[in-house]
Amino acid sequence: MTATPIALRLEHITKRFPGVLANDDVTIEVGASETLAILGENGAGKSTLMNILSGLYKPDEGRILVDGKPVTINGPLDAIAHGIGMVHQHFELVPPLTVAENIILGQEPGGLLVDHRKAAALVRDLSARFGLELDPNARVADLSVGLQQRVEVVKALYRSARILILDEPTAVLTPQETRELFAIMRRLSAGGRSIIFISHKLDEVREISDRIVVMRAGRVVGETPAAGATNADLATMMVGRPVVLEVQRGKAEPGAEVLAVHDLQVRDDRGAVAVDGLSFTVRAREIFGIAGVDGNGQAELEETLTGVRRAESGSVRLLGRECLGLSPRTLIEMGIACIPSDRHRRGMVGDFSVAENLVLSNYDRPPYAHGPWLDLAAIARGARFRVDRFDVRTPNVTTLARFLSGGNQQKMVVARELSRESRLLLAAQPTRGVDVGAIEFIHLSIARQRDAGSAVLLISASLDEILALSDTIGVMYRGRMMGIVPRAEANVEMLGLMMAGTPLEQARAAAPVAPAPTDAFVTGG
Amino acid sequence: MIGGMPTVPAVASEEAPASPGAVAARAARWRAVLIPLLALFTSLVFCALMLLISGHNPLTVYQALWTGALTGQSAFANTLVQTTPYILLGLAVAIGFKGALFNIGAEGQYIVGAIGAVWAGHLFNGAPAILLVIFALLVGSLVGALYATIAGVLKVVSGAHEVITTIMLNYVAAFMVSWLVDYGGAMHGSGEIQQSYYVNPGAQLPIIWPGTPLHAGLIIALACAAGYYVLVWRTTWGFQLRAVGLNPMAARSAGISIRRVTIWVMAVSGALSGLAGAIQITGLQHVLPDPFGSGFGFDAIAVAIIGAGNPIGIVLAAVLLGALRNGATTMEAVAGISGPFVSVIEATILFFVAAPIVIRWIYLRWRRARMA
Repeated sequence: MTATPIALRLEHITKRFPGVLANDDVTIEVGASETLAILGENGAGKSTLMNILSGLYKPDEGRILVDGKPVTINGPLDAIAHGIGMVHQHFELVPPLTVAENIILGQEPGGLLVDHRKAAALVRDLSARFGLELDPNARVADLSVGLQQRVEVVKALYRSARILILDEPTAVLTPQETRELFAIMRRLSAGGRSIIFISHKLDEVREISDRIVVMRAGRVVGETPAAGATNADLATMMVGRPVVLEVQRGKAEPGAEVLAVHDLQVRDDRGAVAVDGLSFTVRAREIFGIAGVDGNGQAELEETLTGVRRAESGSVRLLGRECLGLSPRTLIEMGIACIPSDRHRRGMVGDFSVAENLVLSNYDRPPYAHGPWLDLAAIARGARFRVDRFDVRTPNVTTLARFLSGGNQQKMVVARELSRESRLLLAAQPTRGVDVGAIEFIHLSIARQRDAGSAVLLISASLDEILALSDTIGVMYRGRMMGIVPRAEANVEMLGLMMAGTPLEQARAAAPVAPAPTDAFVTGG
Repeated sequence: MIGGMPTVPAVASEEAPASPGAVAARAARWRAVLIPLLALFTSLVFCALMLLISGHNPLTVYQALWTGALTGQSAFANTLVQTTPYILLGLAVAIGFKGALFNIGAEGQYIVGAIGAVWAGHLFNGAPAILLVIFALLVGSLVGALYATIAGVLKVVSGAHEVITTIMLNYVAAFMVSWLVDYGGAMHGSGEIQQSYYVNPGAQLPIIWPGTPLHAGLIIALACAAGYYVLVWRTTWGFQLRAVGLNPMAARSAGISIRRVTIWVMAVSGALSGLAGAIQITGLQHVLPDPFGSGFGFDAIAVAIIGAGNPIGIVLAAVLLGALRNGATTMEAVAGISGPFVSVIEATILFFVAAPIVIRWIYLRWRRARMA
């Protein structure tokens, strides 16, 4: 580190919030042209640290040095002025505005009147240069999560950042796109830029970064060059105890057909075709994983299967009974349980207590209600039992759900859905934004559900998760099923090609089936 | 469905009692009580400043307000009389809020409830008084419920926003009064005065404080406040209502029918407003004049917000507003400020309650400055 000049140094940074020490005497350095990865669970303090760097918080103690000179960052404008550009994990876009408008926001070309044509041209140029395809005139509100991510990246590049902070950028990219992003990152760092890369994905972190810093409970607990680090070591440092990286599950013995989807057509909110003639089946005691980059119709598929979106045509049969057109209530009674991809919007009521959330689907039947009267004691009792069984960390069951961490909120949703008798479990992005310890648990729960006889449909943008859990894998692209393969015949290359639109036969030919890679999986999704 | 779950080895729990979750939860509870009180205090100070600037003595004004509202048997009783409709209408608006609906039509539902009560109270004669009264109150509630359901159905069927439909229905109700009650109308009384016929003596609520106009309606209103609590927090219907109000998408995914909840909550809200109108007729006025509604329904929105949607808060807020209204006349006579000044006080309270950020900014800044 002594050879290369230090571009950025955070010295003894401490930040306190009421009741929690978010950053505890953190000292980190990044050299010019260096890519530094910061690893850590949710709540480890990495996001707080990055928010301090990008000007959203002020540290209580410590200082920041850019190119060796101490700087004060009073707000995001200062950060940008010092060349610090951040791509946040939770996007900071204005949904009703277009892609171009969001990118130029705050630094609009033109004088009094914004030069929209120039803006669009600038965006197209940046898109082309960095290989991040975007339509400058598309409305951000209409874009999928994956495309919104891209807008954020281009936004930072537009502001000529010299220190680029990427917070979980690959969560929504295919393996090929991730590789392209890495190529871009290497180009940027070769040109002298420093990159701070925050991720849960151990393989990626080891591949792209020069050095890795691990944080836990607000402190830096370890630092290692990327070369020579192993996943096991990193995971252990992150969590503080040895982590099970492989999902133990029984051998697959699929039973009768439970879910049969045939030629399903669904339109999205804009009226465009989202699911385009999709067909597949899921059997009992089988985990069918649908892989695919976010935004290829998975959300619409999930909504159709749970009754909140109307399909155009096609059929969905659960144990022979047609599901399309039925209300969510009926589908729940028929035995569909769902861990939704967007837990804040569809999975839980943030201002309800943990106990209330746990009875969200069955509050009106015994033992939780007798006639019109709620049995609060029974609800609390059931909640305490489930909270314990599913390891939901909460001060007590009357705490409002929104005060829980993301991982615990998700475990709460899992607890609710897996405590019911169900024929089909639909798990959509079940570990997105969830910390390592919770991921382990949720995967175990899903695997147990399968072993106990349920059919499981897993929809995930994380290829690692799909490979770790599924018995059969299908890949969705632009609303169609590119191909369906048994797990034993799948590998990352092949699936990645299908995720980008290559049909099965070509993908198989291009990526000869190798013995399945290890199921090493520790990510934040 | 799951076999024996392996217990995950307990990691040193970061969710101990001093966890950010618990601390934030405790803070939120404190804030709920503190904000309205600070809002009240701040608005009194603010209005005092305004009085000073316009050359009045705020102490005289506030004293007159206090005297007129609360001192003496007659004043206090009159305050409580004013409070009664505020409680019911406040509950009506609040229950709408619980379902994320803005029932601005409490005023109109109040009016049609009164119309119903006058009609029902005039209908029969000779039956035992208690039956007549109950009949009038039931009719008033039912009419109010049906009237509000119109807006509910329109919303469910066509998406028409309830703010617009209920405001329009307010006008319809007001004009209905004129049509029915003015000279030549179906419910006109006698002579030239623009008012309806009287309800029969039997259909009148008993006085509970002899020598004052305070009638049993107050007791009914308080009972409704208790009923509101039970309905919203102890029944399955209330659970659905709160879920839909807080996160309709999650509620729908969990199988709750947003349409059914919308229609029912409008009905209940309308019933409470209609009951308020019916009580005003059977307890206080015994006749329906034109014009009738005096803006109670709109003040009720303030009551619901200041009361933060919980029954005790609403009762207290109703007493507060009732006191202000009652004290206004004394204030006018003694301190020379025109009566509507209480509306200014009311409005500033509402402003500070609805903008807790402002309160927090004022007082937290002050606190942080002291700690620095």
